[in-house]
Amino acid sequence: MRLKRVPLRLLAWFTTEHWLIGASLTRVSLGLLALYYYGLHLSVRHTLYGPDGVWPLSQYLLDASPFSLFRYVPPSAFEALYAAAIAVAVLLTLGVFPRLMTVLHWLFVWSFQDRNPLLGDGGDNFVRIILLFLVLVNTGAYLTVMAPRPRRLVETKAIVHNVGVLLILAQLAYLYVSTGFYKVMGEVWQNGTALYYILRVEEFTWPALARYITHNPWLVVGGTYGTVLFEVFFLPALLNRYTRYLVIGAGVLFHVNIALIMGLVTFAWSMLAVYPLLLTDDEYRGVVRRWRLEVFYDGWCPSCVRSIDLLRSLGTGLVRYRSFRTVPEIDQDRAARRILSRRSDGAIREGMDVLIQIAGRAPCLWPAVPPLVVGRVLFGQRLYDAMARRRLVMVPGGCDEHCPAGQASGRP
Amino acid sequence: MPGAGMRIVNTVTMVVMATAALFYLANAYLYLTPPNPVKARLVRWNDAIMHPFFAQNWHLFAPNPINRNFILTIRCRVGRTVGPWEDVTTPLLARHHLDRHTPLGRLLRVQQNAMLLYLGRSTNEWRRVVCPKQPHLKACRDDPEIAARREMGQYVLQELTRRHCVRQGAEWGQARILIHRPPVWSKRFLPVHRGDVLYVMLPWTPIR
Repeated sequence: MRLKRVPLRLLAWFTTEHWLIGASLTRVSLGLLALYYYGLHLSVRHTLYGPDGVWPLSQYLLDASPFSLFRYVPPSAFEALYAAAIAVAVLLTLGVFPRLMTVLHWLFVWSFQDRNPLLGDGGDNFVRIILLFLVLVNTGAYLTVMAPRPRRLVETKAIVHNVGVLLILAQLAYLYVSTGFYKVMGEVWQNGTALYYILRVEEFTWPALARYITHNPWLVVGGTYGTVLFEVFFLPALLNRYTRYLVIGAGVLFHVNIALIMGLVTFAWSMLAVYPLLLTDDEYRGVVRRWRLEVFYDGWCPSCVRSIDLLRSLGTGLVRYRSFRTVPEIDQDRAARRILSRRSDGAIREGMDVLIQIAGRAPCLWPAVPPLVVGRVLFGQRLYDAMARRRLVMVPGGCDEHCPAGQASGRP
Repeated sequence: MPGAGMRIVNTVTMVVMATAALFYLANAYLYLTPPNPVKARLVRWNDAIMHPFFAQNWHLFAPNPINRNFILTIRCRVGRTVGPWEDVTTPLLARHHLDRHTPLGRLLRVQQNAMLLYLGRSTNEWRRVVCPKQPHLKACRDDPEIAARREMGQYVLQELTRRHCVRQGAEWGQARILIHRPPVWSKRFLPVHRGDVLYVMLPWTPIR
């Protein structure tokens, strides 16, 4: 009986769109990568892609791809072509007509990669294929500037979307497994010294750090075997509920190291761009739920209200601000002394800890996190208390003059 | 609940999409495997499906990573006076080490890949397997893809030579690739510049 239900369950699964948050994050990441790429090449664009570049247009046209825009655009329009590529990348990042922009972006990526094949690496190859699959995917459900349109769920579109995402994930797995198996065959990957030889190649090293790694057998062998193990076991570890977060974390660390130490920034970014698809919508929602915070501030304190307004404008919507004066279930005396926060699991924090929580939830406030943590460790809550005690409190319909904080706290 | 008609449309869509996806994945799997008898039999179909849009190569420092430095040096000739060899790679490398986001790093990439193409690098894995053992095979000597890539590498290297020498008002320029193999693991405490060095000279190029 259960086997008979499998096709129905499959159909039910396929006709619901999954990975919508991850797909939107992937679109944004690929758009930003393209902007970085075009920005990086901007000052040398004529040398790399221009009609009189190191691989001139006349030579290129002898064997150009029929899908390359450079074949059809006159040399005089080179600047316009470059500007159009940037415009498409901006629109893709912002989520304006995402499916159409994905097609156009693929066309530009294909054209630029074909125009100068001397620039490409594995990351470029990966992006080129992923963009083709991304055309199938609904990447415009989140993180878009377009007003949400009332859309009827067309189940066939959901099927196409899910298949597109599965193809991207399969392609990622193929990449790791394929390179992992090729590495296993290599002599220096087998004897554990591959990392040494890579870091001795000037193009792929960072001399300031590399010497500490290349002189240390533990780091060299660990890094070499660790790379092979990660790549070969990526797929099985991803499919296992206990190891999937570990392998995702290892992947992020692996690619960040590739960007930092080997200098392959665009390669690492290309790979990490599809990592958001490794988590499901429920997992993202779970993270958001855990990170959601209610903050109780003093609504009778004008400077507090102004600060909260500022924090609201900088925030990401993860923090909900409420005046504790309007929430009777909150301990009023405690809230009057220090700002309070309540997490979704009910845990209450106060003072400096709340400021750290708020800063941690807004990317533009992340630079403030280290000094706040250091202040908390060195001075505890004293810094916060000193500021809180000096605040002015204006009681609506109460005091005619400003009331001191201590006096006002006793009143509801 | 969708109606019966809609359910049929959904089922057909699912089956078609799943079949197409599985077909692609099976083909891509075969495409990515090392040379083997099944692949040898199906290679023409396999390549026809994957090329050009899904062409891929995930060797990524495998089976053995690149283990040589390639330094491009150029000398220019004005009349009968031949100038010294000038290293045009090291300044780009120094900048790349200081700043990972410099456009000069991209010029370095072009220069490095042009040298590798000129020296006969290939993404064709059959060549990697067969040619080191049987270098005199016709396929290894006269591969048109390799010839085209080598030609491209030479053109770009000569173009870089022209751009370098034209600033000096030279009539001729010559490029030389210095291939440096750093010390092996057992000699890892030696300075990085030690190791084997090999030179490959390109012909003199007229400067336009």
